[in-house]
Amino acid sequence: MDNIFDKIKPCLFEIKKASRYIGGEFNAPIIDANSDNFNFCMCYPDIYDIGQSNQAVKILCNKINEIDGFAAQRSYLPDPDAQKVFENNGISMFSLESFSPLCQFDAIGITVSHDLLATNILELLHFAKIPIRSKDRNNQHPFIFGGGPMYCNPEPYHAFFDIITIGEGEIATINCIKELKRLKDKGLSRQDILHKLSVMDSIYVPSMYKIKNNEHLVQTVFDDVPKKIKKAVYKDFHSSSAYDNCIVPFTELVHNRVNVEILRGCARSCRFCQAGVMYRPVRERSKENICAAVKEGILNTGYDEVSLTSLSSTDHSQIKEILQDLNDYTQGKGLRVSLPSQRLDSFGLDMAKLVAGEKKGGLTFAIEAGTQRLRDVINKNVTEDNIFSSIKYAFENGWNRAKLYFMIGLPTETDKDIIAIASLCEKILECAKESAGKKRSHNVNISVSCSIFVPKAQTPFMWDGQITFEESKRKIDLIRQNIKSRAISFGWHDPKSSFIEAVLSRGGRECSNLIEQAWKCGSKFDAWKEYFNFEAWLEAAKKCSINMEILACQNYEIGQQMPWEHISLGVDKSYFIKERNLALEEKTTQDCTFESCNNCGACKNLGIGNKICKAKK
Amino acid sequence: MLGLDPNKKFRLRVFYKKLNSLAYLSQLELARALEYSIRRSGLPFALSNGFSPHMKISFGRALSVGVESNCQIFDVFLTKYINDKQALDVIKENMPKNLLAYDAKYVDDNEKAASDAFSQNWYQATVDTKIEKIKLPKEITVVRKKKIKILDVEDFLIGDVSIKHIDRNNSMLDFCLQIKTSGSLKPDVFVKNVLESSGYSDAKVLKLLLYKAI
Repeated sequence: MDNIFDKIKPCLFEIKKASRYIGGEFNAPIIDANSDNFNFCMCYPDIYDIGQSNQAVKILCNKINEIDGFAAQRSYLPDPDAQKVFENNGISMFSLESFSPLCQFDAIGITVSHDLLATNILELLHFAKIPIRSKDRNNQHPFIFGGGPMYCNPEPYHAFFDIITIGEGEIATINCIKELKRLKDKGLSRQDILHKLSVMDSIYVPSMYKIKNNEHLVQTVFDDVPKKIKKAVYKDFHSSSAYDNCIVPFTELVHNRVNVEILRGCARSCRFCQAGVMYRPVRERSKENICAAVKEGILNTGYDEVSLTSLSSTDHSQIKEILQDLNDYTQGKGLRVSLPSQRLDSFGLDMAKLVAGEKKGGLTFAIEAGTQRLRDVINKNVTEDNIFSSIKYAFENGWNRAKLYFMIGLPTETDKDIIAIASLCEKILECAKESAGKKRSHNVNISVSCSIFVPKAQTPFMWDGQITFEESKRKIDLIRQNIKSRAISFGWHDPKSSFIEAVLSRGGRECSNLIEQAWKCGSKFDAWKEYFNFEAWLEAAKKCSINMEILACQNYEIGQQMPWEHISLGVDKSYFIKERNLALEEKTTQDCTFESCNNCGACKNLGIGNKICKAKK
Repeated sequence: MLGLDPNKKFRLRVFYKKLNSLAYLSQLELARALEYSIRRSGLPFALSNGFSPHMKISFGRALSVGVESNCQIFDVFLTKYINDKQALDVIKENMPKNLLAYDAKYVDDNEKAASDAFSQNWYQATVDTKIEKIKLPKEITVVRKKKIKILDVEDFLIGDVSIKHIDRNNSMLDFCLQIKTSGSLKPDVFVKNVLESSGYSDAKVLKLLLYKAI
């Protein structure tokens, strides 16, 4: 491959934050453009500042670089101004280790962590001078892999990816690129290679499936292609080292810290949550593994903060012991341990004391619904008792700020539930002020963030429609009118971008045309407020004759076949139906790592059960 | 040892080069990269006092973006004496590629701050044109905080600008700029104006290196 750094260098004078494009960070691998390796480029379709924090990029690059004969590099989209400068100087998208054009790689992986990155995928391929549609690529072009949460419903993206990995990349992507190299070395044609890969476990090759006769479900083109693709699970996750080589960027990111993944999966079974289904069963790493990784991470990066990441870190069976050990280790060293969002039902007095650290940032609690009734419907098993005792412990022990997350537009929601959000926040503020005491009560503030329910594929609520704009606006206004206190700040997600998320979340193959048209009409960086272009999407929908309202807002019959029937995350469809019906009855389901099995099918279908370090209560 | 002040800080001055692509780091990015290097090295750095304690480290004068340097410095305050050769070794190991620590020595507490350590900077500018003759501008106009300032070249330039032909197509300009407390003339601005007044406004600067500071 070429190394085009000499061409890139003169452009850097004209670019803001040029550090995004120079590579050479501490712990970055040194990769020779001219070696015989199978060259893989892992991409996140957003700028360096965001992509460099992504765990999938880190994990896969590290794993691939461990394999003899393979080399993985990183690449991120430049910010739009920088991209113009590069394009004006004849430079196409390049990697950060050997500064090689992406179009010269053997394969490229794009991780799609949310649907508002859709048009950026096309922007990336275009900037890389690779045809945006799979069918237009030939033997000269790299193989384009897609992965990440997008795999739950990959159909809107089917036209752009040659291969989509279903499930955990440590297994699916690694196995696939090894086989791809083997087939390429044998000299097979691109078509033959794709056909052979499509037969592998957890690999979805969209071109090996097609829609017949105006139906909305795909069928296989060849007999040997599997009718259903099951996700890959990294079965050794819990015993594998929690330490991962961590590059230290020059660029300042939102969070500059070591991330240690302490467990994977969450069995709380909140009914709107896609991630919980994606990553089951629950697999915990041991306390010894985690603490060693934290120490090694700090030594090898120089960061002063470590984040113990997972979907629900306070659910780790050894979380108290882990925090205790780490507190002993970090004592007097100016180091901080942070946890992502806390579970309200496990944040007791001891947790409050353990998560102290030397600086107290805000605490984040996801309450999601204003009434117990609606919390039971969505299976967010959190009571008012849990909420108030967590707030009490937190504010008594030095915290002054808390952030609360809520969702509007949930199934069975009424105005009573909406107004309850406002009154609950007022009650929480009161409790917080009282707990903080006279000296600190005037410093107390609560910030509330409200998102709009997006029906996600592969969840019990996949058949429920999103509320309309008018409804969103009305409900948000209702909350605002009912929040009186100035110490409560209230923010909400833009209903228009949530709408696009809902369209792509449940859309079928027709959405590839929609995404392409939206991009051609000028959409890109949809997740950035200043770039989100709703009119472009409306224009695109018109051109493609797609009714976006149906895709986003239609209430389908429970159990209806949806465009992702051929993708299995291990959970039986009957479980989703059962859960949706339980929601209607306002009945809850317990976490199987605490209580008994709920027969979701994951352990049976995937051949691996929950791996918990210590029995939970 | 009797009479030893437990609060004494040992001021270690580290000399390093900032080369190639790292020329494009901002001062803030460079400062953070140096701080992380010190943390990784495991040296017992001192913390500042106050509500938000941070590493006691002071940096040399900020380089303009795009300028490489063979002679940068920073001072890091240690709580314990570590042999300077050992300290240098461990810092070297923990710096990213293109940040190259080449010397470390303890300096006195009453030594001038790192940012005031030097008064003269010597530069080499590699240009993509064969420069025959230099005509120096008398004045250079710069914009500082939305105000227009006119700088007299003779206030900043020490000696002449010498020309060297590297090959048929490239030349190197060698010059020395004084650092003044009242403000500075940036080397990239100086070179751009010199090229313009000499009739080479289309010439591109390929590399700008600070090679000596005294």
